[in-house]
Amino acid sequence: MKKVKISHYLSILVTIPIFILVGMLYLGQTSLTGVGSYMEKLYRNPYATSSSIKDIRSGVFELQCLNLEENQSLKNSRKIEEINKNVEKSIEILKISYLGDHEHISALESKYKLWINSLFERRPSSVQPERSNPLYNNLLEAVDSINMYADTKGKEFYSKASLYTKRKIDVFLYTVISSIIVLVLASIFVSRRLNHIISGIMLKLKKGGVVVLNESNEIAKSSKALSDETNEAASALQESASSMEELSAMVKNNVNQAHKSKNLSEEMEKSAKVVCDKTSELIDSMGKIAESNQDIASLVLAIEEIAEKTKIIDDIVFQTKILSFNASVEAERAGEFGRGFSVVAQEVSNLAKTSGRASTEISEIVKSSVKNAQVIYENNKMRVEKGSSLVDDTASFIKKIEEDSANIRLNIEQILSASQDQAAGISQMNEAIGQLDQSTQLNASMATQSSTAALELNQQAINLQAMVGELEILVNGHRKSQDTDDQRSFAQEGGKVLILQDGHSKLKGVNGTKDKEFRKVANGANSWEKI
Amino acid sequence: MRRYFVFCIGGKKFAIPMLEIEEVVLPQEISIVPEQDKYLKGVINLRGEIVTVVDIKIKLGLGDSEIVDKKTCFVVFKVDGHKVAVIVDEVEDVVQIQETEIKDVRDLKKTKFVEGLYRTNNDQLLLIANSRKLLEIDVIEKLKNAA
Repeated sequence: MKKVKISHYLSILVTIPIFILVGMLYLGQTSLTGVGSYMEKLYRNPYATSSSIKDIRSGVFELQCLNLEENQSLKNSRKIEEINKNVEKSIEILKISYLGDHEHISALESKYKLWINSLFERRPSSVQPERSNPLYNNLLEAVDSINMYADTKGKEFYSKASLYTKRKIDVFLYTVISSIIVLVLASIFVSRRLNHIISGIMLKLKKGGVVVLNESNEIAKSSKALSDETNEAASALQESASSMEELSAMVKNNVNQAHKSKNLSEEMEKSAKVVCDKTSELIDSMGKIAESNQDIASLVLAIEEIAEKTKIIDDIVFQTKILSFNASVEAERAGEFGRGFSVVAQEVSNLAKTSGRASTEISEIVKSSVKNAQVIYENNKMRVEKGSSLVDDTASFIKKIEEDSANIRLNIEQILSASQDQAAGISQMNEAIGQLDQSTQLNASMATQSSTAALELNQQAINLQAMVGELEILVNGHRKSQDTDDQRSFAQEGGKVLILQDGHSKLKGVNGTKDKEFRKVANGANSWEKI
Repeated sequence: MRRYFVFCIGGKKFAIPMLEIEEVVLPQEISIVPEQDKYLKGVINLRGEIVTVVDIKIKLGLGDSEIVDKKTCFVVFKVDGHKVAVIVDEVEDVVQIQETEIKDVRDLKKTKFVEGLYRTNNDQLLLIANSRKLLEIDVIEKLKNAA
């Protein structure tokens, strides 16, 4: 459908009378102008002529009268002059206004002059009746003929003006009648179009009203739900806020503990450094102990040398012993001569034995010493090696501890920094939750307002439907459907009202009730038939 | 009373009359003579004289002698004009023994080398040996010839 604005129709309705009015005004104006021009011509020419003729005639008549009375009083000569002047003036006007042959005016003027001259010439003896004066009669004839002409001309103008007026009036009448017909037709067309449009709008408004009714109900429910949800959210937020505060306290505690840990780790790092230094000293000491052990080893060597020397003594003792045995053998062989030698040999043998025993003892002591010293050396060596290895291990462990404590310190610093960031973040979160809480409370109040607004909207929709009904009455003269009350009551109960294409209503039930489709069967509140 | 020379072989103490001993020498390098009995260790050069070395320990069944011991020495006997060096573990002493106090053990066992037993004052048992039984003369001769 071509979209035509209602203003276009109204413009048509306004424009047509304006055109008619303008045309009529133009016709009126042209008529008036034409009539005016005729009237002006009538006034300027026939009327002026006639008026001048009347003045001339009255002046002539007055002069004639004065002429008859002249004998009684000459004091009127001034008045005569004045009248003469007026007559001459009228003749001058006549010259301008007369439309006929100007010779008639000249003839009149000459006849008047002849007459007036005759009057002044014969003043003393001019006392005689006017009818007997031929000049006067000629003059009157001339005047009358001019008057007759003017009258004829006036009638002519009048008839022309009348004819013109009549023609104009006819045209005006035709125009008015045709305009009225056009206007009536346009009005019918426009009113029908407007009716159609307004009916369409009304249907839409009706549907819209129903939709608004339904939607406002939905909005009211949603707002209620939103309000409930928002309240729950607000309480949850408050719980969150309290949890956040607990968390914040915990994080603060963490920060404090991290501070303490940092200090402790710094002290630990220092202690580890001290221990590391001490361990270095210990390693030096262990080196010195190892050196001392080496001294013991050299001492063992010295003792071993003693042992070697003891062996030489042993050898000497052994050889001495063998020598003493051989001496004994020789002494035995010498018999009696060898007795003394035998004793000597025996003594030598005894000495050798003693020396041997002493040497053996020394040797044993030295062996024992060497053995002990070796054992000590070996033990010491083992212990020193073990100690060195332990110290090295300890040193590496302490080094590791130092590094680890440095790392721990770094980690604790990072933890501290992270905890501080966390605390700041939690603080911000606290603020955010506070803002959120405010927003939620605002939302709750807004939801309540929205609920109220939805109810208000509902009321407005009902009002709108009522207004649509009034508009329907205004447009159609009666209400086509009176289903709004039913719809309203149904909608207020939470149901949905659907306006079908054929004008029927469909009431969509809620809470498990079945949908109902109704058909309008009669006017009134209970005028629906279930389909 | 006779004087006896006491020496030690394989933990046993033997005593031999002093007159049967020629001399005591320090251990020397032994020249091995092949294809002989095991107890014949070889010969040594004793001041230009060839002397057979006998390992009594092997002959007595007391194991093998080792000369590494510093107490080891060679006791040289003269048997029928032949010098024989016996490896002894240690030379002990020179003692005087009353021959009547020697207990004769020649009848008890078929001993060749040990002839009697003598108990000392400090309760040590000395085996009184006979140097003639050390070696058979023919073996000594043979050795000498071989050397």
